[in-house]
Amino acid sequence: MNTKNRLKVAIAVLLMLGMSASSAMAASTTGKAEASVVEQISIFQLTELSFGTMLQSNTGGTISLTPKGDATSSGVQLVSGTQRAVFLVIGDFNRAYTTTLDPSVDLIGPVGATPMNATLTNDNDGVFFQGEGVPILGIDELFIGGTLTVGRNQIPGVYSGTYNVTVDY
Amino acid sequence: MFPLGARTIDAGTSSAAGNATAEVSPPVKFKLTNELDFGNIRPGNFAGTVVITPHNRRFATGGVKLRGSRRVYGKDKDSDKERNKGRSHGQFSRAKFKVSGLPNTFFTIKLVSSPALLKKGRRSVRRKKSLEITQLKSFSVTQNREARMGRFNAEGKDTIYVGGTLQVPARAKKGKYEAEVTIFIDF
Repeated sequence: MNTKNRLKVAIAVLLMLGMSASSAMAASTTGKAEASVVEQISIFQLTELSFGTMLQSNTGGTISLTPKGDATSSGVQLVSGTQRAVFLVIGDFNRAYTTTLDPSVDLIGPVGATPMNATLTNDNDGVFFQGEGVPILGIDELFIGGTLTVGRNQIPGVYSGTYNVTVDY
Repeated sequence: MFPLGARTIDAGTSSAAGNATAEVSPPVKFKLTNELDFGNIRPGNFAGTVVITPHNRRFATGGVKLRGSRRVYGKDKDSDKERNKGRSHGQFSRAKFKVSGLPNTFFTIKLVSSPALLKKGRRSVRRKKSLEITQLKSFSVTQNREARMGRFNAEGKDTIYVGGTLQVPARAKKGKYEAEVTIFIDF
């Protein structure tokens, strides 16, 4: 059917409806309205992301931490353990969700120190598993890792930063 | 009757802030401020040993006689004042290492010594006439005890004193002997 023909058909239908609407005949019917309320999705941090403690390096390097918790380093020597971030997501068991994570975070250190940047990654399966006792309640764990870039002769000290993670139905 | 359609009140979105942390530790540094020096000894017809403790005490066993008894460094912990004093005949001393690293962390100490080789001239050595150094012992100031463990204090510092035992065979050849003592720190 070409465009011209389709247009003609549409006009004809509109005319018919208009005729019906203008009819003086009384009629009634009953409509049914439904609504369902789903569990509010929410997210909480359980453990924070830690790239551990590393020795100052005169070459600089990276520390990579997968969302599974596996850590590797290049150019720098780790001297204490790393820790992936764990978030608890609560929502409707029957719904999938998506995760939006800041792509990176700057870790700020002592005065005068150059911040260290970490790119972030997450597991993002987006599937709830059923919570015990409450059939509609779904819970999931969201794991976050990343890759930290350590500068050459990075000034010793504690570095920290904040990033945002958003979950959405 | 027909349904108007199912509607859902969307429970929308939720966000959370996460914290990311890392710590950069200063590198472990060593500074030898005093060498292990067994001093001047006289070998005898019998084998023996010369012992220097991490507390800077010296004594001999077997056929070895000690010559001179002046310690380069006394019992005092602050021996830097004495660093520049010239060594006279017969002086001896424990080794002293100043170490620095990550504050408030423990570390282990491993000591390894090469044989003490007889020096001839400025460079040549004679391995056949070497003397063994054994029983290397360390003392951590922050731990205040003789142990193979130390601890960087709140400022990330510790001082390690090292002593050892020199094995002197009977009728050892006269001369000056030198060895390398290596300290490893692991934490």
